Amino acid sequence: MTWFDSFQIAIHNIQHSKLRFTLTCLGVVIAIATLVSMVSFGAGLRRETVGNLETRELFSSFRVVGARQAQNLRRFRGQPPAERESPALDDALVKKLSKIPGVQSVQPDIVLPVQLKNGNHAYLTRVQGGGPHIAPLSPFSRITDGRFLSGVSGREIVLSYWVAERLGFNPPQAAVGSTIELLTDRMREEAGEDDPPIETIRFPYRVVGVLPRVIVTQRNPFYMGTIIPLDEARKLWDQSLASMAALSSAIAAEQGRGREYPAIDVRVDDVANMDRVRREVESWGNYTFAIADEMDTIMRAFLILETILSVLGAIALLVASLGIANVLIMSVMERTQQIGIMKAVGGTDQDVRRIFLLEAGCIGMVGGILGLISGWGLTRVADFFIRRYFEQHQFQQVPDLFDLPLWLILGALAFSTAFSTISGLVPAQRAARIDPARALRTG
Amino acid sequence: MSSLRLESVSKEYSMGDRLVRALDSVSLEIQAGELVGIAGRSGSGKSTLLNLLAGMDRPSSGAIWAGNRNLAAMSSRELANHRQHTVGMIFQFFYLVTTMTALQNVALPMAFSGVAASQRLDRARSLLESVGLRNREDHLPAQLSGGEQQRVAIARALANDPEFLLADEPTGNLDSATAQEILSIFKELNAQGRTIICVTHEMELFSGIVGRFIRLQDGKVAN
Repeated sequence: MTWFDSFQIAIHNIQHSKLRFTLTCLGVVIAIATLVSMVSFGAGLRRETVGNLETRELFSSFRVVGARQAQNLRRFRGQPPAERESPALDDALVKKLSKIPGVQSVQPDIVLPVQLKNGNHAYLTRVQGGGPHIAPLSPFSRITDGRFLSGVSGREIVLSYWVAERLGFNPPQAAVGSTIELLTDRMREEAGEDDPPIETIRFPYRVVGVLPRVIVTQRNPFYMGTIIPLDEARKLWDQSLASMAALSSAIAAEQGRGREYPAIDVRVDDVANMDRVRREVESWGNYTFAIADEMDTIMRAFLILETILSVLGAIALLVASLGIANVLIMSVMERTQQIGIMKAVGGTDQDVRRIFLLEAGCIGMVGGILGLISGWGLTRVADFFIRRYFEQHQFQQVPDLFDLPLWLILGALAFSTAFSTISGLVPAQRAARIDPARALRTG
Repeated sequence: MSSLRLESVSKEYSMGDRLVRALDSVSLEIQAGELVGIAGRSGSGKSTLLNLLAGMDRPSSGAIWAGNRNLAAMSSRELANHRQHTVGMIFQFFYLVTTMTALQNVALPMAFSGVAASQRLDRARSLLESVGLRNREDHLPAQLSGGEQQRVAIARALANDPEFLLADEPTGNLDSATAQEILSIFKELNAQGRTIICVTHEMELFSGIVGRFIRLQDGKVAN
């Protein structure tokens, strides 16, 4: 008997027990839908996180941190305290870092809370200071509307897609060429008796570029890319009350030191140079931190999460498989006479076994396909609610937490079909062993 | 054309602690082209004998020769092959697959023997025509009368054009008029050269068509 003929008989048998097979199939559908939606969540979370890190080119960058942060990190990592005081994160260190071979850019960490205003649209955000030296880096390298900053000074601003949108530009790219206001607070220099001690200062900035839409999972404007020239940021830093940096500057000035940054970001031209550059910086007594250090831990955490989710899904499928085995064993008992007839007219043990295995496989395959569709539907429903939640809590961009890659689609189908077929082994073997003469006599 | 030959065939069943000897050293030969009746009382071993000839059961001892092949030494796959090509079975209770149409039932043995789908449907239709049921091919067994079901079963038994037709009480479940119809089909098939072995306890009814009777009594050949 050909496989096709066996398949036709299997389908014929399924069609004549529709309700039973539908209910059995439903078990597989639920199991696969659970499996797919959970693994899809794990895969989506991993893609989102790793994708974000890659987008920000964090694998080729590290951060030189200040003494206090270094102390905390050492404690967190179980390392002994520093033997000597680390060099100050000042402009001299920025210059020194820039001269290390393999360093592509050095970016002092200047992030300032400001209010941006376009007519009636105002948006409280933070801006970063930067210059043309970071233009080739992501996300600035991806500007398609307008251009990047032309220098380290001048009243130019590059807006992120989301900030431009919130400033009322529709589409956000329409912001290019517009002039917006940047507002910040400072201590009033000469205050009259009735004047409040704090005044708001405002500066006009010309929007020279808008960044394309990028994946952002947290409310971190640094990575959202709204950026002004470095020197302008330094000036604001000195004035802005809201800036913690201004406070640290004041302390440093009191101690007779120059401006100190809380951190300096260093990007290397090639990931291969990371270790060498970091070793050199650490040899000066500075402490560095790179996301790549934590990558193994992150990936291990994802692996554990995905394994747990897969195991939960597999348990659901195991339960469904027991259902299949139960239904098929009942079916063998009920169809003993039919099996006897098939053998009496020439059916071999293998023919009978194959028909039952195909019936089990068909349940798995159909259940798998419907389960995939249902699982996908579940992820869409969950995604809808997650989006609503994120929007209600004013996250800048909602992450896509579900991923349905090809390996998951094919894997779920193969898993479901294989599991179901395996669960049909015992019933199929029982059917194959049926003695035709006895089956007809007692059937 | 070959013959069927039994040499000292015994068959024992265990029923609980008891061993039942259904056939006891039976030796006989059925020549090609014969129409033979196997008669005997209930429990005499008639059906056991037919099952052994059909390869649906194995003897406890002895040899069963279909031509030069010994069924007792065959593997289960070879026995299935014997049931596909050498013998066709007809039963008292017809044993049609209840969920299949008459046409599908007749085509089923050909599916097991690997005949292409279009060929087997053509042949199944032609066989149904030969038993006068061409217009009933899409009917399920439950929609057919007893006589019609038995005719479908005969068509199914002939599907792979076997040398031997083995019928177990083929008229046992039919009224006398329908039984006569079935007998005339057997007579015609035998006239065409087909070897037919009928197990029956209705010796009178079959005496008009069989060449000889083999009588079984307590598992042994009585005549």
